[in-house]
Amino acid sequence: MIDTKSQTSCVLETRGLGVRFGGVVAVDSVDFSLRQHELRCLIGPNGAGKTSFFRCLTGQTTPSRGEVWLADTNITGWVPHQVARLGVGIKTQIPSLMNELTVRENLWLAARRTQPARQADDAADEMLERLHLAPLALKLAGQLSHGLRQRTELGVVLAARPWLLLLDEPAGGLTHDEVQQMAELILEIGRTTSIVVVEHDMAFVRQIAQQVTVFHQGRVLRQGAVDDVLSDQVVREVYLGKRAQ
Amino acid sequence: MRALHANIGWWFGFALVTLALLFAPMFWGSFHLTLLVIQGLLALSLGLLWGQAGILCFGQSAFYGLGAYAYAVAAMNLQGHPWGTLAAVFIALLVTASFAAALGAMMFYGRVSDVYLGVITLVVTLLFNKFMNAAAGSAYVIGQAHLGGFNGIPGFPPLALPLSESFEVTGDALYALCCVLLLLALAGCHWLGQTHWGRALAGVRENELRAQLLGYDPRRLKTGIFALSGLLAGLAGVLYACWAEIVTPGLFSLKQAAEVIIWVIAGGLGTWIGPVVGAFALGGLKSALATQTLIDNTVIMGAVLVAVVLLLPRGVVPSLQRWLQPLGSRARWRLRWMRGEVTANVAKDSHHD
Amino acid sequence: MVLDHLLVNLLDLAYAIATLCLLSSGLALIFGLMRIINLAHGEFIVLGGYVTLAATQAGVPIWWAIFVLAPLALALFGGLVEWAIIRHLYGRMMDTMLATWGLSMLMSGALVTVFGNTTTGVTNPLGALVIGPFQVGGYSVLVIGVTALLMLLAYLTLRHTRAGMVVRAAMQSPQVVAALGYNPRTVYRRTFMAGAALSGLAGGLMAPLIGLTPASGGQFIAKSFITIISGGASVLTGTLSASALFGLVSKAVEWLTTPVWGELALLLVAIVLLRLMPQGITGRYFKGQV
Repeated sequence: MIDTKSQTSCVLETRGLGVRFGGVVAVDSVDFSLRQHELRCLIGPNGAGKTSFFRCLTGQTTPSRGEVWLADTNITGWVPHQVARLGVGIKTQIPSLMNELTVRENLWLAARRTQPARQADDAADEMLERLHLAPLALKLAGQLSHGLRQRTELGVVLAARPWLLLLDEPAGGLTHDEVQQMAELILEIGRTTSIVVVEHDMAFVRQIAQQVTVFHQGRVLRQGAVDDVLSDQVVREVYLGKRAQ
Repeated sequence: MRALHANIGWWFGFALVTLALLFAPMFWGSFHLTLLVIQGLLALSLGLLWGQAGILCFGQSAFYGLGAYAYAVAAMNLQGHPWGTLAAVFIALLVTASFAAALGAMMFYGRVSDVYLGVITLVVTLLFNKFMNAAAGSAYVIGQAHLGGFNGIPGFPPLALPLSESFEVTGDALYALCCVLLLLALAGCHWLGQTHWGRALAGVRENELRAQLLGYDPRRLKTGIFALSGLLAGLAGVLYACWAEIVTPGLFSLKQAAEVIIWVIAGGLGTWIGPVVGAFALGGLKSALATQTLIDNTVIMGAVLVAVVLLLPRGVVPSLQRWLQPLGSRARWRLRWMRGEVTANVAKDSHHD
Repeated sequence: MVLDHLLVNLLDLAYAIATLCLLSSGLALIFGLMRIINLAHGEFIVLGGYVTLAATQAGVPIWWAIFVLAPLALALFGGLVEWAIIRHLYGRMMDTMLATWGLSMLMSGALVTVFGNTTTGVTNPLGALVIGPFQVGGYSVLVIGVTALLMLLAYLTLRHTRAGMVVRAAMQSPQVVAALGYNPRTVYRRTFMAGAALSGLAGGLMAPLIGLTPASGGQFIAKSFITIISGGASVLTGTLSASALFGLVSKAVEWLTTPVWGELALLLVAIVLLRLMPQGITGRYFKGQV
């Protein structure tokens, strides 16, 4: 586990990060940094390179150039389980659960990797209560609806007690009410945890973010406070133009 | 509740197998039964790998044959020493487990998956088969043991305990030993499935990416279970060598490899009893058919495999459980309802599963 | 003299490569286009051989038996197998492998029951060719020629005909085929039948060179299985490159030591190859070829 106290300024940083697939440049030289307990949203139109960038942070994609630093550890080229072992919680775009295991077993497996058996039992039960999943504890994860899968996956990610959360589209495919609940939950977690959220849903972004980073054509287009960035003329043109009309 | 329910089923099955092993010698000769028990152990080794970790190894017979050959060679070389045969058992287990670990590490760390894994394990089995068939003559000698090519290695000492008069484990004693080992292995697998390691393996089986994102290393977990499964198969091989008192390249044959898979898939994946029952039933059927010449027993085995894949993809034991499931789940629901845990809403939910 | 020796050895090598290619072609077609591994492929070949044997014994001219009857019989048989087993298992690769493994045992058992567990053969219709002081089997040269022709035909069919285009579309996705107005199921069935016909042809063609036993299927399936998997996704390029590699390795080792070690070397190379290139040769070097 990394001592996050010593690095108050920066818990996650990329330097000149680039990804190319064959001849296509998906991410082009991105410098990015996240302060402790900051909640940052990554936005941008489809194909802007958000997800490729995100996958470099989680270790699912190996960057073609540049570096990724987690506090003071260089994690460039690490595989996902190594990244996760540093205390990073990762939620994928399509909810990823162990389908033939029950909801509780999913949570338990997450909690047990970081805690002894008895505490893991408690942590799993606590997470069931906290996310209102208790009645579904014995259901197989594969039988849940999409919204419940999203919530369960967030529970699985939180059960390991991460200090940094990387969330890819946590509000994707949720109903209006579910989006509200998710936003409240993320704001609550954000008080004690650093969070990066990749998101499409602008209403959701406005609700949770103070700081946003806009991706366009593999680069960082704008970065700053949510209201400034979203009212920026260039940003509106490349991204919001269609919606603002 | 679910765990308790599953446990009742498991203890019931375990008791049934124990009783069957106890009373079977009253009806059939223990010589033949010993082979069935050994095959049950071999089936369990694949059931552990396939059921718990979702890895289908096409070459389980490679470890089986390797265990048998390693025992034969070691026992030949240690002949005359009072602890010789026991040492040979440990050498054989060590050889198979290390070989399985090395092979597993090569495949899993090389990100070889699914079908390719099947191919590699099958090819390894074929390699052994061809090599052992060809290894005749004075060039292929390990210490005192001639590998013997197509004829195999006969005449190595059977398992003996260094008691006052060195006590040879053959006949009924060998049957008893095999039964005890099988029951231990069954209980061990059941216990393993409930440990953190076993559950982590199930997690990797269900969703490798999710397990990785939680910090579990699938490569290490899979290599571990592969080695353990190889060890169990090797143990079955050692027992086979003690029982048959000869080892031949036929142990590595494609037919043997296929039969293990058929036992497991017919008996049922995802249970511990299933593969063992599959091995008992189909092994018994095979020997019953051996006395008649009307139909080649390969036809029967092939037909069983095709039929199970098409009609009962979950295998016999899990399908039986499935038919019995409504009873169990209703009882479970009633219990929770009586305790007042279940609201109307959830009651509806739990009726569905 | 040296030149003659070289020529003979080259022919020997070409023969090794051609047989690998020929024996794998049916399996390769089915795997490449349908993502199905037919583990009964070896028995399909053996059955092709037995059809040729039975036909010649019944007085049919041998060339008719090899080039017409064996492929035709196997195409029909393949259609039957597709209808009874394969079509229920599309998209379940492992289950298909298991079911066809069962089918393979069923067939070899049935062949034992019908033909007995003895080695039989078809008389070699061609004599020897003389090259300097050496003799080469004329029939081996024929096998090389037929295989080359077959590969060329397959290439032209896949590349330049309407049927080939539809099949390649089916390879990408069944929806595309449906969108083009063809029934994917029919396309798959015909592809499977074509693959089976190729196996039948291979069996018929090899029958005069090898002793047929009901158990010979095992040795065919092993070699062709390894060849196509190592070849990777592209049907023709993959089969050709893997056959060339394995033929070369096994022949080279065979010259240095014994035929058994040649076979062992082939298997070892296959393992190493799959470890280094889990997607096969074409997955790495010839992406997107047919």
